[in-house]
Amino acid sequence: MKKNIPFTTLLAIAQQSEYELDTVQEWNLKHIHESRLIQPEKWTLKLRWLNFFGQVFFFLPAIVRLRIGLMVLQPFETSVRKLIIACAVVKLRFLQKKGLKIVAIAGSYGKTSTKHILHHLFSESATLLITPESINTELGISRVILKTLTGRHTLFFIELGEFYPGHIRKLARFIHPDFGILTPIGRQHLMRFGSLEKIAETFHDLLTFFSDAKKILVSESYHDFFTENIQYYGTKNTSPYRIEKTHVTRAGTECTIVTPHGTTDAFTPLFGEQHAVNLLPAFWLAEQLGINTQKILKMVTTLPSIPHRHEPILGMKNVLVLDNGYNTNPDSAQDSLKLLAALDASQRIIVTLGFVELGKDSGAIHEAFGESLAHSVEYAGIIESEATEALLAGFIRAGGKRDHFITGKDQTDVIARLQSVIQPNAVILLEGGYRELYS
Amino acid sequence: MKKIRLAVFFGGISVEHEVSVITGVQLMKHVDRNRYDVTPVYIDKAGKWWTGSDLFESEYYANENLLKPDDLQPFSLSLNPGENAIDVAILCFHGEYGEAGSVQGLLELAHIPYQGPGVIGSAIAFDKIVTRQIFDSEKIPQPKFIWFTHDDWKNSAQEITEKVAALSYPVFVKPARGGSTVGIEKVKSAAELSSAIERVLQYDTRVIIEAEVKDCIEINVSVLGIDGDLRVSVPEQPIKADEFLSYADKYERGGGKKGGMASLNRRIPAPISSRLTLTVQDLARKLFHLFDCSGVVRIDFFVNPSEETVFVTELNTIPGSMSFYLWEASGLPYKELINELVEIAFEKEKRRSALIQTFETNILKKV
Repeated sequence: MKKNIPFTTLLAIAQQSEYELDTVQEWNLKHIHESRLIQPEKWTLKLRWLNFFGQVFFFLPAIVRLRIGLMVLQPFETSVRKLIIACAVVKLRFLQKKGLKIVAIAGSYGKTSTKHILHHLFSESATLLITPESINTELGISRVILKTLTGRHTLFFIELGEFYPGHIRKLARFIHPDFGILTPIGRQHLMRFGSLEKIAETFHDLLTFFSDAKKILVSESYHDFFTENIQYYGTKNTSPYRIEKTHVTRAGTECTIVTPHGTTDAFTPLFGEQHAVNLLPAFWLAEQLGINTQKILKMVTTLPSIPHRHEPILGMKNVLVLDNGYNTNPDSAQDSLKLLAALDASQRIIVTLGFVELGKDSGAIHEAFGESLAHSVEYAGIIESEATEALLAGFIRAGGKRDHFITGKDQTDVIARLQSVIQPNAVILLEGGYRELYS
Repeated sequence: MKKIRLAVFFGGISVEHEVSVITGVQLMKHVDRNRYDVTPVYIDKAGKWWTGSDLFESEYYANENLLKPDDLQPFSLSLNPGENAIDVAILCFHGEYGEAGSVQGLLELAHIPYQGPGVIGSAIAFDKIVTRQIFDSEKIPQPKFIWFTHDDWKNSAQEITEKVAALSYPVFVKPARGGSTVGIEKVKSAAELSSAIERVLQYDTRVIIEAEVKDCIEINVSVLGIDGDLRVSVPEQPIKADEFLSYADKYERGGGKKGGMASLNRRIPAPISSRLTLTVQDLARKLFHLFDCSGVVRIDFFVNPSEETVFVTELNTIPGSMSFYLWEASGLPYKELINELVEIAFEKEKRRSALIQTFETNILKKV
């Protein structure tokens, strides 16, 4: 007898796809006869309601039950959402009048890392609040404003998501930031936007929000997209805020921080040039707010690792696992490979699924990434997906050995298959999250 | 080539008995058997000395009454030169029984070379109070501390309580002699002090109380060598699960007791700048020299990464797992570390025997 996908599994996939019904339907067609139970990452109120509808209409196919649930919830959800956002705006404007400063952080990648870094570096200089985890939508931000933000807070770091063209503009109008930070642009959500130019346009909306260009710091990765005279940060000589002389070891990263006001050496326990670059907005913001940058520099030495952003996990026999499992894209993955090359290691291994949401360019991008892997790692541990073939083709073309391309059905399976080849002092990079949605 | 007869000593009457067994068994597993004939010498919890082939396997200890083990042969040493079937010894004791100088003295009397500091170095490094007093006299930066004895506490509890308050809470109450954080109490207020001291007095009659050093992380390095010929390992940062590194945290986390210290979660190298690493390593070298150490020693520090300040807390003359994980991370495999320890033992003995210890002439003949 053919089995059917459990409704809970479908709910988990719906959550992973941010409730995009077409994506869920496509996944459902591929896996309809699997009985695998996947639990949702978090049983939110919405999921619990959907589950309730699922129980009521138990006699219908799972995907139909999900569709009904979403249909019933939508009008209700829309009105509640509007009410929550309206209340949040009132509270936010009131606190802004009383002196609360808001810093908006947007960009394709590095925004959560930047937010965590800012949080630690300013923790002794201000009473501050950050939007937790990766909350970055109107509703998510509104909930934080209503639940956590108080009159005691003087600085509020808000991460802005970019789920559709115009989203950043909408969020900026909602939060009225005093300062803005644009972290690097990359081919994240390429499928939704169509092109890198369209992604850049969306982020440009944050720039146009500020009449004074000094109120925003922009990653140098936008240089080819923006024409305005703005302050860039990164590693190039043309960026007034930049990192130089980066040296990465297993202890952390040493670098020189250059700003228009001076040059200073720094050490951070975080790994890689990309994280050293993520420090720069803090120095810029400290200057804007009149906070002593020496104070910030001291805090840099004690930065805790950021969950799933090149987070070190220490294995036996000095094996270092770098968990960059939150997400990845073809551009940020190059930073990861650069970091892997910089670290002292007996052997370099990657575990990845590749990239998601790339649209029509997926094949070519994955082949190119496969080539990069052949040059960067001894073993490529690949979680099987639609991208696997393209990755393998690129890997072999660039001289990678077939038996060094090890595949498995999920991350655990790949790691188990790699066990026998892992040497003492190896560095293993877990690049990009594994989600059943993409398997 | 004739094999070197190597005896590995471990166990002993100590609260760290099991940790010593782990260090000993782990070391024997890594010994180069082509080079050495290994004799395990196990001292049970009752203080009896044993040897036997069962002692190579960790499973033996898991299933045995360690106060009265079975199927072993008694082991004894002769103090007469040339009568022992041992060329060299590696001591894997943790705790006062074998780490504080007495076994070292015994081996010297038995003419058996061993790794690690001699009687004096072992004894002073084992006593936290004496160690701290030497730090004081040498102006080595250290956390503020006070010390007292059992009788001092009985007679002047009020005065001691006032002195502790002057250190400002929280403070750490520690037995003067002991390792592995056994018996150490973190006291957050005056109300908790008295009972904590009473508990610590169950482990030792001498107590040291030290102030917490704010905004610091714990950093350890290992030093290997003899006299001026020293190497310092990369630093490690033990990762604490809780607020304080307890015995269970130190030895039972990760891979459990089987893995010993090596299964402790740690970051190697520690997340500190290269400049601060050099400061710690230089200070470690100085301390090794100051305490007349030899062999492999682990030195524990508190460092403030922001201010780049360093405070020394203690020296472990026989570190858990011989700090082999620090040496592996510094490019020296455990097998080679053991070879170096044996060479250091012979070198130390060579230097000692080259000294004038007696006169050949019998001046009594002139009487």
